[in-house]
Amino acid sequence: MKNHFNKFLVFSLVSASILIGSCKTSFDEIKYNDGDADFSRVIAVGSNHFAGYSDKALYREAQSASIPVLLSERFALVGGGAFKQPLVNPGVGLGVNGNSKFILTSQTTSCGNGTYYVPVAAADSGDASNTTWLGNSSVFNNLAVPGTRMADITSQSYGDPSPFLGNPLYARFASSPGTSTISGDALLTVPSFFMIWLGMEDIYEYALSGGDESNTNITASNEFIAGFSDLLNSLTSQDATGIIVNIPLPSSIPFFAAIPYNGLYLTATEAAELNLLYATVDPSIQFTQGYNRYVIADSSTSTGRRQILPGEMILLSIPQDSLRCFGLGRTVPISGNYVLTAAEVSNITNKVIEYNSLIASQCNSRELALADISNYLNSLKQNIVFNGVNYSTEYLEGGVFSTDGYNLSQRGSALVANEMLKVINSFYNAKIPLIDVNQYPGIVFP
Amino acid sequence: MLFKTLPELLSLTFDCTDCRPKFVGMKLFHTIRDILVILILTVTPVSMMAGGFQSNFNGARSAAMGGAFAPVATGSGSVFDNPGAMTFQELSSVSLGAAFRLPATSFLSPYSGNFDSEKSMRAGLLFSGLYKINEKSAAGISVNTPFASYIKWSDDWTGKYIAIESTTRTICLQPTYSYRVSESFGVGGGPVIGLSRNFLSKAISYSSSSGPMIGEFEGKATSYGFALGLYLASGEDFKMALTYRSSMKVNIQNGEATLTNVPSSLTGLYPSPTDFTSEYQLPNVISAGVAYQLTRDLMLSVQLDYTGWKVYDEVKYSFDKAFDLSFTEEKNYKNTMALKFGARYHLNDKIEVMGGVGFDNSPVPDDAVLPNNPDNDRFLLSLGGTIRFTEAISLDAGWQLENYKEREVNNTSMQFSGSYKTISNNFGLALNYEF
Repeated sequence: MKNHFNKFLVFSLVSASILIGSCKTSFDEIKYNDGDADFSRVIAVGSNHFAGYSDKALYREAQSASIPVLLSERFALVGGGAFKQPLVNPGVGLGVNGNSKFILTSQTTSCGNGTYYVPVAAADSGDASNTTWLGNSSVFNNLAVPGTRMADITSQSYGDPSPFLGNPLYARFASSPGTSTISGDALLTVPSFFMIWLGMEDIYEYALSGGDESNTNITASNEFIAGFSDLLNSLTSQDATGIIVNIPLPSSIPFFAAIPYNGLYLTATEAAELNLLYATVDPSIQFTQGYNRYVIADSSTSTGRRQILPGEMILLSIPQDSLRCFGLGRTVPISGNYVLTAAEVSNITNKVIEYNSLIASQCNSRELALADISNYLNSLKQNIVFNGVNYSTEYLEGGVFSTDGYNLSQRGSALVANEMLKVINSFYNAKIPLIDVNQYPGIVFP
Repeated sequence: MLFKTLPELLSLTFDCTDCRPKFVGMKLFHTIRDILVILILTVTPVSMMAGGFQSNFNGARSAAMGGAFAPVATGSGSVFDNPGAMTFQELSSVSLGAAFRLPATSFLSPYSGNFDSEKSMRAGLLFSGLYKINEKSAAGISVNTPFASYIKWSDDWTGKYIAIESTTRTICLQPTYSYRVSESFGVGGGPVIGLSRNFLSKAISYSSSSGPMIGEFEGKATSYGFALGLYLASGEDFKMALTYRSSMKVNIQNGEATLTNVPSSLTGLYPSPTDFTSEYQLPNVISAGVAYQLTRDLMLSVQLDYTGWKVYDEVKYSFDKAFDLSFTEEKNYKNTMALKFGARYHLNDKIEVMGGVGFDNSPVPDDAVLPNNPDNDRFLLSLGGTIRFTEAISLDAGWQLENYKEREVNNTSMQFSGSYKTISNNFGLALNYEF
């Protein structure tokens, strides 16, 4: 009897000591590594998204969450070096048009039928102190400049401080304004790793204006890729590796996709009234109760107008108040600068696909990582969840794009940065932790 | 090591060459005992557990014996642990005490490192009373908290959009009646009235200039069930128990949600305060146990608890006037089994020492673990005892360690992944008065 009791006692004591020994709630540290990549000197070349341009301006908070900065913070865990970017002063920031950042407001319509969200400038103008030259203080790692097209990276005049000659947002940190070029400045750090996102503004400057060819044109694909190839030649000449980001489609960008082509909601009475009006003007324009296609300007028709077709797009820049209260889209045709016609959409989409195909071959032949953000943002048309928060490309509620509908929000930057990290981890056999997207501020609602 | 000792311990029951059924029920008794032992032996190896948010501390004395108390069921603790044993107590008694839990959980996020839950002590009332009406019947009442879970994370932690603070507890009041069917067999039972309180706070996706909206959801409900117990005592040495606690439906009809940091343009969609309804099912529990007086001073007990957690599949929060707030927590719990062992040693006339170990499995599948209740398989270790001061007054004390295994999870509905580790130190005291 005593024997059995002793055995039980021993068992209890042994278990107790094992238990008490494991009485802690902390974890062992995870070991990360950079794999085949070298993050000691990282540079970024790009335009809006890489510069941290958001809400129509370059401002401190969004810059601090720019994709290259988010990535460099992660790279620091695996031996990455310092990453300098030309920060603007805290405050309203500075946009490409000398404007301040925009903030979301809620407005009541002038005809009193509801409220709508519209971003409004935080101040009359941007903070001009941000044009103070910083290029003599440091060599910068983030060479991304809002509004930059492929041709601009080799242009000396792009760094001219005069907004008529160059881009003040590059001039402010160019190593030698008026003489240096972005591609030249990119080599100053002797980069070991580069990230590139170019081509956005080559295509979208045209799209943002509603496809106004008199003003701006999409860079021809062969010109684009020639410039790209030259840049890659100079960057890879010293054994640097890198990651390239491709171009998203307009349907995944809320600036183009937020307002549905048939967003015109009419009651039975309103529809009947409009049909009566149009019966004499243009009977091919018809309305019914429910959702209808907007009326847009078309100089090729006899009446100078027609109804928009599925696949054509209405831009977010359209005055909401006029849409709701002053007959815009019903009796007043929507002008071309707020519309992308089928031909324009087709032009843009084809160029995006062409650019992306050329970018993919460059990555393939040079053995560089490709972040297919085009595919990623397209997939975000469907909701995804991150640590309990929903994200999609829907305007405002989706949280990925900022209030201007075109530039990424801080959380959107983090999501894209995570996709790039996944590619880097896989392509370069690295083990780098992803970013906690939700810790960055979401869209602030008024 | 355990599994070598167990058959050895139980082999003692078989070393009984001159045993003969002494009275009518004895042959049946032996058969049931043998079945139970075989059941325990075959089930022992891999999967067993009851876990979830059940409390393993429902009485100071029962906790001290590792929870393997249904076949022991002494004192007024028998009201809760096995109503069938109530008439087997010598005296009526009243017991008043409290149970304290100190849980600590850590979460390792793949993105943002380690987070610790806030350390706090949770207290619950332990009360039971047993009155011997006559030799054949007894009545009693028990008040404790068999379902309790509490956790609080920091306001800004990585899982704030899922849970910041979560409380779920059901206090059970059980008036009970027990009848002595025969010299060795007793039954008992009674209704169970459950008083539930649920609280959840979390961040909500939209932000105002002061930060993300925070929602606090508070709901109370009264639920009903019943408890039954069978107790078989064969001579002085062998006790057997079979108990059943029914499932209870917690139906929160008038929950109140309070929202802060609501952007003024969204107050229409997110009014505060606003009502919500929610409901969920608490599981039923079947327990089977055996206690054996090994020597004059040492008693050993073993108990199997089968908990029907499958009924706890989701908790839906429905808002009449704020539809956008509606959300569902996918639980997808599975039925579980727990195995508990207890020992009681009569040191002298004044002191009885108790101890126990237990293995409690988790009902939560890997893809449904939420930070509200980061459950996992646990190892229970208990120590305690009873000190007798006078013939009437005694004190039960118990300490219990719940050591949860580390668990790596990916909650698919919330896309929230990481590793959890939990330890809970629990203790309780109860003062008994026998009359």
